[in-house]
Amino acid sequence: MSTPNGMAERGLDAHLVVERGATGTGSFRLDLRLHVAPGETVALLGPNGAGKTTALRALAGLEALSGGQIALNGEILDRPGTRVGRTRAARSESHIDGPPVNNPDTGVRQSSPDAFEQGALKHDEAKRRSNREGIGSSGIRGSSREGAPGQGTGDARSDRWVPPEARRIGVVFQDYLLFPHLTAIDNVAFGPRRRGQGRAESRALAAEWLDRVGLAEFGKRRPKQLSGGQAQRVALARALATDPALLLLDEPLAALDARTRLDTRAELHRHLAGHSGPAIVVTHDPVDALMLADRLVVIENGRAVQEGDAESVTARPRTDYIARLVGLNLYRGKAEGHQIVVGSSTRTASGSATGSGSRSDAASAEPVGEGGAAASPEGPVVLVASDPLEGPAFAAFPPSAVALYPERPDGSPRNTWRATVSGVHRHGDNLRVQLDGPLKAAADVTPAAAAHLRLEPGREVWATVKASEIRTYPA
Amino acid sequence: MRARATLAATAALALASLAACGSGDEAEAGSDGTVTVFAAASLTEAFTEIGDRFEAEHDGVTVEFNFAGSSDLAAQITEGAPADVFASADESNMDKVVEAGAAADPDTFALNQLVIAVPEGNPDGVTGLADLAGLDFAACAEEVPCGSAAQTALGDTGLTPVTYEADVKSTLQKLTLGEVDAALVYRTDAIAAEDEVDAVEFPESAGAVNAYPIAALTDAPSPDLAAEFAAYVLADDAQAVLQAAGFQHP
Amino acid sequence: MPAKRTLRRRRVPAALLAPAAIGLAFLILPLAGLLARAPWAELPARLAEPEMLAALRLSLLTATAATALSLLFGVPIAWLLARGDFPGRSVLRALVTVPLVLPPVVGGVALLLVFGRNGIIGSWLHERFDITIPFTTTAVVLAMTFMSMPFLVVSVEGALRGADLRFEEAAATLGAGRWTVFTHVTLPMVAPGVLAGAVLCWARALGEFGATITFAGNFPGRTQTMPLAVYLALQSDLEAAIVLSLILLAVSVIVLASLRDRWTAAP
Repeated sequence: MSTPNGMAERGLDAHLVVERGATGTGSFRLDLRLHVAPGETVALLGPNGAGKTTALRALAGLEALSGGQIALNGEILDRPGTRVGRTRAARSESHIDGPPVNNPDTGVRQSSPDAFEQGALKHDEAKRRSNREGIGSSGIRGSSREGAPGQGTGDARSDRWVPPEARRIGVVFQDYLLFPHLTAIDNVAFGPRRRGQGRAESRALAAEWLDRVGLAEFGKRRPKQLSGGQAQRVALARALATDPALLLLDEPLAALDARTRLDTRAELHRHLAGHSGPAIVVTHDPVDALMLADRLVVIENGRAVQEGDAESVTARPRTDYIARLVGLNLYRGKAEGHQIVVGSSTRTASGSATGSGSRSDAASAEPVGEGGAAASPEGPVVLVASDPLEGPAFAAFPPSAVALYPERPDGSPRNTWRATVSGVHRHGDNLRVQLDGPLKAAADVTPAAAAHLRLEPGREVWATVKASEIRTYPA
Repeated sequence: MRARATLAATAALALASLAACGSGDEAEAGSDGTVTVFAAASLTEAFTEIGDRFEAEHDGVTVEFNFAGSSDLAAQITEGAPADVFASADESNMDKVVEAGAAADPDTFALNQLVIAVPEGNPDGVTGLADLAGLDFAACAEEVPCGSAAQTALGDTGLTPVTYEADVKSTLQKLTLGEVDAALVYRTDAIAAEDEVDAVEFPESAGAVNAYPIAALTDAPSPDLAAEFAAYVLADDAQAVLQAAGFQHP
Repeated sequence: MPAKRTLRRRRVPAALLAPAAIGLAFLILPLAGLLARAPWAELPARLAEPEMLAALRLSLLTATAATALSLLFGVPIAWLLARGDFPGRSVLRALVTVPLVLPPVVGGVALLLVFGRNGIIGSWLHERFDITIPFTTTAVVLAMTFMSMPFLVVSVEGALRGADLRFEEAAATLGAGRWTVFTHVTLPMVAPGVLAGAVLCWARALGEFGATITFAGNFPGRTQTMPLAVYLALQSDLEAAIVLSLILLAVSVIVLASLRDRWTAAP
């Protein structure tokens, strides 16, 4: 695992490039490098339309790459030829026409009005089908091109395409997509049967898997007769029964209600731990990601913006999206020793009240902080942290670290600023206060304190944060 | 009898549009110079010509025709369609009308004989019924007049057509389309299609001559004109027209 | 909540009820007319007539064969129309539905021009293999297939267009090739549409008259189907025609109803 060679040979080594649409509005480009070791579970986390599902579809072979390659345990599954121009254009063309069959990002259906999804919505049914045809015939295209070796340029590499049915990849789809005309056991037996096992053998294997997911008694039921949690487990059993080299899960828990979700998540975690190959979970739910995955890859706009284990990602968020998910106030600035000069003060903790003035979707469309330090109309704000640092840096602190006062406090807090309350709403047992001003932030206060301060939108307060509460890390 | 009448009522419903054509205005118009003639489809060409001549000889009189299969016409008449004259292609349909009391004392005004229609030039050299052995030939179904005649003519020759067509026109059509080598059709039909087919007379047809009866109807809206037209058809002028079309004098 | 929903579902808007009632009356009254005027006393005698039985058997046999042929060729056509991406697809779709608007007799003539003794294919078959199609039971099946296959194609195409392609993708990830996906996922999932189409197709074939009598002629036991027998009976004997019609109706209703029960009974 320590050598680059070993990385390439075992597990998943992919550089996913999928381009859709001409440049301009409606265009989308996924450019994502993924390395997943055997036994490792990686969560792809990101907002709707970020390209999570596109990445998963490309891995499964339901969508062809426009560039890059997919290698699983050393075998190339998809690699468009590099002799540029013609082949590549022809290859991607059939996919430019239409979006993938299901919503490119499946968390919240068709609700996010970003450019990619708008583009997707414009396409009609026929185009969807033509897209599907493109996928289906990719196998033929690929193999025919394989026959013509890349001559000419030295760095040309041959084209490769392994159709989905020939990839040893198990997929758990968001809506499970259990075949409605088959019983649970036949759903699970479908994969083994297609992979060449006998009828009896497949059914025995399916029964075993159903037993393993705790549904031994439910084999004769049809998908309609299963609860959401049961259907999810059948879908998992179906994917695992093919003994996949790579396991992909698309929003595996999104369709479940909160209670079922809790149980199913724990069980899913158990099965993922038992899976010896690499696994990828696509989700927009940070809790799922944190609970199920060994490592998180945060993608926004088709690119990885942060990667790491759950602890580092949550403790040191590098994007507004993650900061909001984990509930931190996040700022980007320039550190000079203990001081950090921040200008881009739109980063607020999660749960920001709607209409609180901190709508930062536009800002989050770019990697955080690129706006520079002078973005605040009130001028730069200087935060003081206990740990010294030099150069571009992030500063983060939880809303609970913010204390509010009606008057400027006399004490010694180093970070004190005037703020205007722009919103107040419940957050657990406390109230979360959205603060406007030179430093937009969220602060958690007790209801008693809120009453005492008479917090309501428009009220001016003083906010302080102890230097020891501010975590700084290089940007 | 009662059952038959109610059944015919159903038929009249089905043929409502046709019946409507002959009702109302024309019934009224009949009294001031219109005669409505229900005639068998095989009479279309000959009767149209006869009608023109009749109009020419009777100032202010209009002849209106309703050409259809004899059985359809019989059903319409027994259900009270306001017709003046019925000219049937066979006796059984006229009998139905007479039985229903809608006509009395029909006269036979023409005979139609079967011929063997063959493609022009008679490629198979057919000279009589016996030559049909080994050939594919078409005939009418027993249920229609030309079929019962064909059945009689074929008798016990053991010859069987490949198809029993619903009417004489489609029987002939099978020949003109080249699907059969010969067809048993009326001489009148063979003559009407003489550009494409030749007619071969055969003696056995003499025993299966189809008689065409005509009668003025009891409830004719224009009884006088009805009788006059029926008589005209039996007279020489009309007979000449009929014979030119291939009918024989009774 | 569910109680409220069923309540709402049950209430039929009056604006729909009135035309529906009129339409139903229009469809059912002629049938009632036939039933009222039928000479029931003659029925047993008619049922025992060998010609009638031959015509009925031939009708059921040929309509079923035509449905089988329509399934064999029509389902692939429907797939092509629903999923194919090629220029002129809409033209092709329009062409497939031509038999729906073509007067059946014209359809019969058209078939003769192709499969007849002098037809494009028929003459070759005749000379090369001494096969003649017109006036044979094969011709009846061909005429029925020609007239009824569009019903199947249209129905199956609609079902295919409505099918969720993601299930096919799921099957692909489970190792199913395109053909297996079609037979094991697509087809079972559009089965209701296929069955509905097959029923329509069968019913249309059973009632087929014009193209049959033109292309296949009329020969008892060989090409005389029930509708032909009914038509000829109508020439001489109205009562017989009504009896024959009722028998045809009864048999088809029994067949369709029992089939439907079997389908809906399936879990």
